Amino acid sequence: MKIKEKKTENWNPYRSKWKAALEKGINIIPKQTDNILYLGASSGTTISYISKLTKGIIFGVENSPQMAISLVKLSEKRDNISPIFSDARNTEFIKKATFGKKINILFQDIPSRDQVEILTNASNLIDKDCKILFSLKTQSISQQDPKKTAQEVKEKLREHFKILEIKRLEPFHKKHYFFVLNKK
Amino acid sequence: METNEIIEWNINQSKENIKKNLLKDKLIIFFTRIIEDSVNHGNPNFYGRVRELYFLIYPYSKLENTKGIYDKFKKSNFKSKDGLSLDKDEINNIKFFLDNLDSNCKLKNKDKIGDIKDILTNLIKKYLPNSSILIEPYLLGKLISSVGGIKNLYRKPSSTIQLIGAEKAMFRHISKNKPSPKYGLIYYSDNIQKAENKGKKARKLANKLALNIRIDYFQNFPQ
Repeated sequence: MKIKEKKTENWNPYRSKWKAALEKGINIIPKQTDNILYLGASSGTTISYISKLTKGIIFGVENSPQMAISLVKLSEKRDNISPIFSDARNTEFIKKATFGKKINILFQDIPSRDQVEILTNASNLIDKDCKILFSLKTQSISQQDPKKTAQEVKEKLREHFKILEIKRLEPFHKKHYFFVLNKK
Repeated sequence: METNEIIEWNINQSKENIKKNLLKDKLIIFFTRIIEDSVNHGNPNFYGRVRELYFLIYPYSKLENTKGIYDKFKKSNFKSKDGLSLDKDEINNIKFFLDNLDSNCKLKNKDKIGDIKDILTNLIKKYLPNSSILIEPYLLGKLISSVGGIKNLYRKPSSTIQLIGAEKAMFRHISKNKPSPKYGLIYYSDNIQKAENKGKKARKLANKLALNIRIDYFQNFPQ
């Protein structure tokens, strides 16, 4: 346990949703052999810390060219990060790029209006025992009270997933919720 | 497949796809911001702008020191395997700009701004021929640079294009019930300055501009 703390001591919860969820008390440290699919990798701040915790491959999907350049630069330094330059809605290309590797954890952080549909679409790539971590930004769906939007999203998710845990990421990220899910 | 081979295949594939997505509108933004800087700030140095352009052409270089980048950029031949690819005229234009900078990266002669404006108008007339008839090329460059690229601009509806640059007044109208703005950056074009009813003219101009930008994007930029 001490080694894990040493590797992540500079990890800032104000810049990463994964670390903020850990601070809130959700136990989601990956195992040594886990393969991870990360949708919405951006320039790779969170990925650079996670790659120290696991020895499996991490696939980072990113759509903007300016951000993907720094993701490619990072993956040339480390030996277990693989960048995928594609839209997260394009599951056919992602399936081709992962070469049939078994995925143990699926993480999604895309602040877009159809983020729930992207998640249900991407769940075709994974098996039943895969853990799904989903960070929801309510402001990009609707401008109303965030509690109302979270309630609506919960009912949508219940059709496809089993909901294990929900937490609000309040002091670190405003109007954000964090879900832990399993496929039905 | 082994993990090494998967990572290598993915890096090569994404480098290829990124190269297709780097468009020439970045050059338009570059020259527009140089003119904006020298109008607003007197005689500034261009270390930051030169660094931005260097990383467009050589995106995977490992240099960090800005002065070192400026020295190396003057000697290079502006061609790279996986960056933005330029044709002969554009290389000559960039060379012309770099030759007119002194050792502190400032403009030697301030009158050369006129030549840079000519470069910008030629560039915009080449890539956006239809929409540069309606509005002055420098204003069109300002519109593109304030939203961050042609891809963001062509997706916007005409009512949003009309109000680019007037965001502060728009949000004041929404939250405090103050009167709504009728024009943003578009206001400085000759068409509107002459007109009597400026609000009506701005709405008409933004309407036609939204159509013409879409035509230009799908004709001249690769998808």
